[in-house]
Amino acid sequence: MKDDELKNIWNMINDDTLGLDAMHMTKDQIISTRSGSVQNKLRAMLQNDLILKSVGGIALLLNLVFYWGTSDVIFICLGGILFLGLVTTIQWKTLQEFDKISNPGLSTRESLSNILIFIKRKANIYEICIAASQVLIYVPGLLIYFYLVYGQVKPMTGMSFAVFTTIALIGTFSAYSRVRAQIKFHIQYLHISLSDLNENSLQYAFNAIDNKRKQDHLIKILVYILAIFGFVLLMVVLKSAVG
Amino acid sequence: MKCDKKTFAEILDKHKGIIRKVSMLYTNNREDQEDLFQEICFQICKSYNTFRDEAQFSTWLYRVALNTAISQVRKNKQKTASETFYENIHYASVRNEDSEGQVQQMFKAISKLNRIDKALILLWLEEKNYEEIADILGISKSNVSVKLVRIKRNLSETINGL
Repeated sequence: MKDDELKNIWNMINDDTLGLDAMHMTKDQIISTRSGSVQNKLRAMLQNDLILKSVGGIALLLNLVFYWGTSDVIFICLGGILFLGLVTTIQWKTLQEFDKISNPGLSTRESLSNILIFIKRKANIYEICIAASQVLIYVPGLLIYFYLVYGQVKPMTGMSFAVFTTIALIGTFSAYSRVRAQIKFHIQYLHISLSDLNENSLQYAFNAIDNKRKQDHLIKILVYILAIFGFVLLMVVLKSAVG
Repeated sequence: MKCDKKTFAEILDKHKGIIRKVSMLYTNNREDQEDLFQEICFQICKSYNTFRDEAQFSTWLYRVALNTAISQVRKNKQKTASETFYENIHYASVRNEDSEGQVQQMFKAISKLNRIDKALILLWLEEKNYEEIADILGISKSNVSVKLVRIKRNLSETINGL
């Protein structure tokens, strides 16, 4: 089949015919009903988690009110708020950075490479920040439960302590694994597209990732410290409950 | 530059054909087409302030539309099966009813291509020259040329074999 024949068939499609309901939509309707691209999925992951964290923040503030006068719990809540503030700041900055790099007006190679480089660099931050939310919801949630049911932090047996800690660990680990799997899926998706573009595109992205990763150690260390802090916080609350 | 309601309506009115064709090529049913169409419109509006006058608007628009389509995560992988793709094309959009079959065959053949090859053939069918295609996709002209020869050959073979 000749080139002209292919183009003739293509030109039989009538541009003016409105085949989609979406064509009649206004700007506001389109914005409110948009669906997910890799960029939107990754953005939504962080945005939804920020909502979850704000719920955790409210719960911590409620605990401050409920347990006013109980120094151990006050210390835990203040520590939790500090931890939450730091994680949220990192997450917010990551979100802003992502908005800057995810520009679909660039060439396809640049656009896909930018997203891939960003995800590979920030995957650990995504995973840890989102997993940390579990602790930030679980601990204040547990404290609110104790307050509503017992009016105080209920002393626990060693077995209860083990059960509560295990639940927290399972929740955190499963959130971490879920985010890791989602990010892995998106990375594979981008790998395929870049390798379809040409071999050099993928190599270009890999080189850029290696170079930029060297600059990311500080923030990674910071996030790991924050994660450890979160677990220490959990231990303190449960330990004080046992005591 | 801001994408206000008037600008948005103008862009949509003038370029709906391009957006619609991209949406058709990268999806296989009406619902996904609508989703992708909306997503492209949203991205055009959102990124409008990044458009620089030195680039042709249509080049920029193709970039946004294709990049959005390529990075679209499939909701349901089973739906992407090329066998079902051509059945979902909106036939009302074909100028001549006698040509429906040929258009169907072309879409079925294109549906077998990977996402990048779909972008290449779409740009070529839309009369973009090699330089423009290279600019939109960010690859070399020689790469465009080599890939297009292969894609056109595959396309012709598939259409003739259907």
